[in-house]
Amino acid sequence: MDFFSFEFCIFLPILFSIYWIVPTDHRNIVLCLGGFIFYSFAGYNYAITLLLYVIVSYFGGIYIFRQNNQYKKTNILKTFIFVLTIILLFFKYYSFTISLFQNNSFNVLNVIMPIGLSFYTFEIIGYLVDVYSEKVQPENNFITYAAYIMFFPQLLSGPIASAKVTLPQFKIDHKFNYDKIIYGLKRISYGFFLKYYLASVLGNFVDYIYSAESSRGGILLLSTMLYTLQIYYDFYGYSEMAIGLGKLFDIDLIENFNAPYLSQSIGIFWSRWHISLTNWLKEYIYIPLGGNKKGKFRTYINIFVTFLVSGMWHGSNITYIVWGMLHGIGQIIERCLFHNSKNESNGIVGIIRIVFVLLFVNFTWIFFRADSINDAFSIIFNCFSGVGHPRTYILKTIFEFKTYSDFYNVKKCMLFSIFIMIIDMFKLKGYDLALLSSKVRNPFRWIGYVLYIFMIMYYTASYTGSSFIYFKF
Amino acid sequence: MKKLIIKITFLISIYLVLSIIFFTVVSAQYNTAYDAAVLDKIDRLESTESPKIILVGDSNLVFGIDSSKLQSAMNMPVVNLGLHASFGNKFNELIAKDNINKGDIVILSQIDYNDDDKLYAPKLFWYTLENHFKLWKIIGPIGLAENAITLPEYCVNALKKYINGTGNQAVTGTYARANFNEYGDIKRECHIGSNIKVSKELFSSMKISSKCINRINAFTKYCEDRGATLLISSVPILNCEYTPDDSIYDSFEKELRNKTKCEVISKWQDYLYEPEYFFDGYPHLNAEGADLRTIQLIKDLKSWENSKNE
Repeated sequence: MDFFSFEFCIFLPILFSIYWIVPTDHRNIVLCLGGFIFYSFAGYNYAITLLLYVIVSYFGGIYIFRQNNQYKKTNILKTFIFVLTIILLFFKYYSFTISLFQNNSFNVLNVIMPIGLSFYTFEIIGYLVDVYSEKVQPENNFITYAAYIMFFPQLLSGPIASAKVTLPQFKIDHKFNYDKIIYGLKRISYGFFLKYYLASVLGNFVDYIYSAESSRGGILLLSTMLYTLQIYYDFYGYSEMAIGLGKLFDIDLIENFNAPYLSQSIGIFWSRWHISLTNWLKEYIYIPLGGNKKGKFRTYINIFVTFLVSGMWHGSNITYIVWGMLHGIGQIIERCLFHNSKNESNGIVGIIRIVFVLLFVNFTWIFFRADSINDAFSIIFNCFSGVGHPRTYILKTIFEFKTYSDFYNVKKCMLFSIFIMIIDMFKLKGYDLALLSSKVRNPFRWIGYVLYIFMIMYYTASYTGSSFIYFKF
Repeated sequence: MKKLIIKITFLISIYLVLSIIFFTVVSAQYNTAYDAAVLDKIDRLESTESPKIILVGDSNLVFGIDSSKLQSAMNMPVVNLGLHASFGNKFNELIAKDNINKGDIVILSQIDYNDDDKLYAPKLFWYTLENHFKLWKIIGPIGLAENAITLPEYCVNALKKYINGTGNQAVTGTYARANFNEYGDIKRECHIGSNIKVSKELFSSMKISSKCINRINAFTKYCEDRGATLLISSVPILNCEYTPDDSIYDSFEKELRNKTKCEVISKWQDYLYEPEYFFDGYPHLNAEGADLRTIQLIKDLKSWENSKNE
């Protein structure tokens, strides 16, 4: 069920109303049913699959915890992780593997990966490992555990909830908090605007430029930069909506983005981009491998492997793996050159660092978006086609941008992007505009709300129905 | 909770009041646009006596039928309700339901059988409906609610035209309300010549969704309850190097015949046309192509009539 759908507009108020009307000890049942119904819109077979995952992992957690024999405990955990990983790899890599064989002698199954499988598989693995290492107690109440895994805002594209942080929230008594709900609605509306207007409009423009065979030069280079914005708004927008929806039910999901494009190093970028995934990879891949505790060389290997896994998690195409490897290599080089890259600089040095990181990230997104390595290199090469004649290169870029950007309303998006960056800068300084806006006096606040909602509705009318980029992971 | 409900109700009320004021004050500004032709089509549907032939579907019917020829051959008045695939099949069928009576033959011809039963085209929806409340009644409250979010964009643009006095200006080119004839076809002189670019992307998958089948079957029952008959006919298909195999069309047809409760009167391979018979894109035929397609449709209808009488 898409958040931008009539069905969701009916589903959400009904679920919200029932949740807050029923007695406290029935609320998790409501969330379980809500999650099941929400996921069923993707397909009943997927919803049944999710339920099976929940049932098996629920008993798995209890079974692991009750083992006294450490050797047996470890083997059971390994078995669970192995099976969950194999299933995930099968869905992710089946089509890719079949496509490697040129002839059609294999009976090709029509395998479609359930939406969200990558996310809830990681959540479940994280839960089982935490139970094994006794960082969390296994959840004895099936309904509580199911509500945690099947909580609908995070089900399809995260944030990847950590059992330590999120599971306890399903065990407490929730009180209806008007201010929290209004705050949640503000974040939902912000995310809605980012995803269904900005990401959508930029996506249409980028798709057009990429698909046009004659695209080369500055307009293609510009499109790579607009893709950098598109993917940020797409995923950040979804995360904002998910977090806002969580607030409606008094569940605080982990913040997933924190002004990543204002990062002064690649290391800092990864502490601000898809934070829940970075945390998961750090806790369950990087640290178990030894982290930075086993010497420099081993640290570099661990970083590389962690980002290789990140690339593989994103998809089966070699381009994702290259993208992950590039980030791993980037961080290794950064560590070699700058021992403490997490220190931030002020003034012009800080700005230069941000620009360099942005250029690097932009470069890696080319691989992320490309269909193949050849395509990626072709795009990179074509971006600089004609750069030997700079005046012509620039004039051609301006002309082509003027021609296409009006048609696709891209200029407005770029203007809005400046405001988004300013909001991100405020966020980095610790200012939450959604909270600050509550301090504005009536009636100005209400006029602001009406105009804000009107603006969102006005701009999202052009949404043409493309899905979240991160749904396919 | 009470405070929240009151405030949300207040917000929604503001929008409803503003919308009512808008539609009362601002007249329709897009009456000359292509999609506004739906009003003429509905008028013709309502004013044409039964038994009649009603063509339901997308723009393949607008550009692909010579209704006067069909009318002469079948000796029944023809109403061509074909309009725009972007509205979605559900929209096209809703329009038709306005006046179906005993003896009517409803012919469904659409490009997409893999739809999800929604009203589409958020950017066109309100630009077509405007303050034509007859259309609002046909679409119904759920259809209106589904598209409520795109209302502000239409209101702003319509208001600009209203204030500047630039609404309802004559539209140049083929895609204008004035270029439809009395049957609902595009006028012959408006789709002469061929300028179609052949590519693989023109061919979508031949999938059939269960939602589409359920809707067609419900439409079949709707027609039967009124003593009318629903038939399915093919759309024009571009014959080029990218055209799918015959086997694809055979299995598509077979699936359609098995799953729908109405008759499928066409063989898809009979509607293959060379690029020179297409107008500006797929599946828009030019005038010559429309002639050929109409002749084939007449053959299919006569064949169906004969089999009915046997």
